Amino acid sequence: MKSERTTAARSMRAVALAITLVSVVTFAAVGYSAYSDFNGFISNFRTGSTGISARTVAQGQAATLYVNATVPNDGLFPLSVSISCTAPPAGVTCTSSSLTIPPSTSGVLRFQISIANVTELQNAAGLHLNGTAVAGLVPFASISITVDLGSFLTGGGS
Amino acid sequence: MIGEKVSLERRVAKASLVAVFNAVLWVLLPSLLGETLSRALPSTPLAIPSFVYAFGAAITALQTVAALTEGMAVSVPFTAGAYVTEAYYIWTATSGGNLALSVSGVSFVIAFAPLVYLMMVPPLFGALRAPITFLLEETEASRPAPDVI
Repeated sequence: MKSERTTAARSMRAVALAITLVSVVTFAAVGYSAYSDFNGFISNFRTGSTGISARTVAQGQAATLYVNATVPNDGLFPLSVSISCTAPPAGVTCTSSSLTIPPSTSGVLRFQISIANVTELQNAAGLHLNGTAVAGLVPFASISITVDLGSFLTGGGS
Repeated sequence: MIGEKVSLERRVAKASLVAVFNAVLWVLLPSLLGETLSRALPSTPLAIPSFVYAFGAAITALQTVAALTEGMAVSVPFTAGAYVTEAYYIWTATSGGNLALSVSGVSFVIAFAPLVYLMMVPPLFGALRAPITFLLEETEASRPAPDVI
């Protein structure tokens, strides 16, 4: 014989179901948003795209790298993006840039690295400059990527 | 429901299903995922395979005993214990929502603590739900039945 569940048991079950549903919907929305943002970012690298432009200006021993990146936010949540340098060596200056892009819009990230004397820096210990890019789906998740930006300058930018 | 008469056959059948389901969910799938990730990213210290068997076995055992003792008061601590272990398992497997990877000199740090909290809410609520439901049902059962005219 199956006995009747009490009101308390039914209420607790309903709350558990609601919590599970909210979790599933949130995960689905975050997953979709991350996928859309990733696709939008990847489209910047396609042939003929003007989403990301970089140029190096050399004046004597000094060099400056300018990077402009148009970042679209095709997702459902605000997208925060930032780029910065970690502990730049003497003679190197970076301008950090960060912005939060609302959904269905795009923003332009401007980044600049200036080196006073490229030859001196290369002769000393090579140019090693850690750059960190952070992209985050506000407020759920973020990914931070750190890479040696020195090769972009010494290897020659476009 | 506590106090509900459940036949031994039904308990054993349900416990068998629960054991298989939990072994797949908490041992087999994470283990396969951990091995795949370890092969794909050999330079990354992934903690999943080392503790997955202990936690998976603990959750499976607790859930199975809870299913075997269904309808008895003794099932409450097993159910609550299984849920607490699940929550801790999720927290440990995801390093609290902060994963650091390194691939070919490029470092990745993935932070997703709010999503981990969201994953932990259902098991933690389940851990609270088991004893609260038991206490409420006990209170309701001990209340005198209204007179039937």
